[in-house]
Amino acid sequence: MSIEVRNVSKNFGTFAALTDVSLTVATGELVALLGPSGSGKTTLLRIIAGMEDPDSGSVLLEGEDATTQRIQQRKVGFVFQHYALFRHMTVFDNIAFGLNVRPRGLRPSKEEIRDRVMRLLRLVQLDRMADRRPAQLSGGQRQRVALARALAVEPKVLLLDEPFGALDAKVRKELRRWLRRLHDEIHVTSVFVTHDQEEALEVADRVVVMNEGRIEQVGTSEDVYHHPANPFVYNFLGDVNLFHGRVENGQPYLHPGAEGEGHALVFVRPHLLDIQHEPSGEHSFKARVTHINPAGPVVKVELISEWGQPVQVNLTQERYRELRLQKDASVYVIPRELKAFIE
Amino acid sequence: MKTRGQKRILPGFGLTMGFTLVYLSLIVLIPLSTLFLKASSLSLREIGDIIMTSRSLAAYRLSFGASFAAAGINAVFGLIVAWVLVRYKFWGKALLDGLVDLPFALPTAVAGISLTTLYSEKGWLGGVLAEVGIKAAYTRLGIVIALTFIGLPFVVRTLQPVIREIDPEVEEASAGLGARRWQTFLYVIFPNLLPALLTGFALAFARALGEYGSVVFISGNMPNKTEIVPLLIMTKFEEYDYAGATAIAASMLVLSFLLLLTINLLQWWSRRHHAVA
Repeated sequence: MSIEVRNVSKNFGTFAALTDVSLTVATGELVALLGPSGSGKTTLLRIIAGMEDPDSGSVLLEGEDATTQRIQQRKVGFVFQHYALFRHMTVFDNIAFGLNVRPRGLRPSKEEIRDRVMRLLRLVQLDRMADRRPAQLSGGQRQRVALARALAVEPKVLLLDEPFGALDAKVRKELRRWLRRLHDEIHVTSVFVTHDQEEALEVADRVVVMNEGRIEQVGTSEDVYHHPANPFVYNFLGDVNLFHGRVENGQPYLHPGAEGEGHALVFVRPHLLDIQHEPSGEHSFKARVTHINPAGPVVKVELISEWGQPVQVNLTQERYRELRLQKDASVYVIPRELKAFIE
Repeated sequence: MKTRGQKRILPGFGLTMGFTLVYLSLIVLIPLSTLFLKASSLSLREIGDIIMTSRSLAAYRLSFGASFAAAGINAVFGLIVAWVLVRYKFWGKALLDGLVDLPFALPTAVAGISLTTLYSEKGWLGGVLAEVGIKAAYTRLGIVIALTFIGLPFVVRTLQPVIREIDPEVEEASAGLGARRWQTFLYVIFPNLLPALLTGFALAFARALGEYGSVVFISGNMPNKTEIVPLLIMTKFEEYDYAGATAIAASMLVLSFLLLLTINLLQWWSRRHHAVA
């Protein structure tokens, strides 16, 4: 089922949580709402679910206006950051809940419910945990139960609010890959909220970058990462060095220019900077090495530029060995690719 | 907690346990045991004769019945009051919250006299009730009213922290799965409240059983009709019938203890079956 959000605004007191937000999600798509906390992403998700009413604007599900529909009628599955499982019920009863509360005429038979719950338990790989209570499960297991519970009612739309936010880093990675595979299997239209750019870029078909109650950019991972629409998006997606440079004749320069002349924000990602012992080209600048972290797939080198700005450079292990870098060494930094936004 | 060989975080189990036993003995067990000592001067047959008179039996029925009814009323309306006080923000909430404790603080005789004035046929509420043919003061209904008044804080105060702990997201999850409001309440919220509700009920019930001060004013104290057990005990005292008074008191104690024990077991059972993490 497709989702369409039209010109939605929402205020909490004097705080504008959403300002004139419009968004379309196609049937079967997996979309991430990405943004810092307070950017309005959770509010948008809750408005789609019907847990919050927009001050203005409308929400359409499958082309039909759902703005006045209550949450019970919208047929959405919702997964909470802190699981919100029913702690007095077993895993089985949690998943069966949505089916058990249906009016008698629409309720599947006991056997059907049993079959469906067991099928879902296998899907989330928890078939041996049916009789446990939520308190006896790990965080990752609880979130999978919550997902199975949401899927049990066969929702037209699946909404996930920071589904992996409360989990530790390793489980989070496993679970998000698993979510991607699951989505490829069942193709339910899904929207998930996250503040983790890596998670959004890795899992989603399309990423919606939000900031201060507005949508900054909508696009595929490739789009938003390589063709950011504005400084915010570039800054938010991945590590970045920010230079208060200038633009002359359409050419960006990292060095700060004279007052008021073609002033521009120039961004360079750490892996697009190189270090050499000699100056090369008009963009290179002198810098002093302040810290080296050689652990991990890339070597992270921190430097101070000749005009006193901290700069981060990521080198490959081979390049690092080749350069034989030392702390406090004087070197030259050469950008391979610049991205400038004129102020 | 068996902790042989295992380190306790707080030391002094022996000391605190010893203190607990001495304290409970001094405050509760020794006074009660003198009651049983006194009662033991009577043979079982004599005790039976005292208890089985129609006047005593009527008093037992009334005391347990009215207390049960009052605790039941408090369980229902106390739950609503606690819910409103925890879940909603409104002007004067702190004041209302403070009002709940008043029945604790008010001398019971004051409560009894005000309730009697209010519910007598010339009182504000009693007048209205009289018009529809209901007599409140000097009847069993009046007793239930007084007992409800003094029992209210127990239910509200035991439920409040438990309601505060319920995550509103759980209700949203339930609604999102298609549950109607009453289903969310019955299947999701209520099981979490049940142990605390039973505790509140038991406390209100116990308090009502022992209540004397407020009831004597509103009940009219007619033997066989509106005479509660505590009053019967007082009457026996005033007639210098110490043996009779202790016999009734001791039997009341045993019965109350058995009832409270049953409620505690029920509560323990409900806590196990709705295991709270």
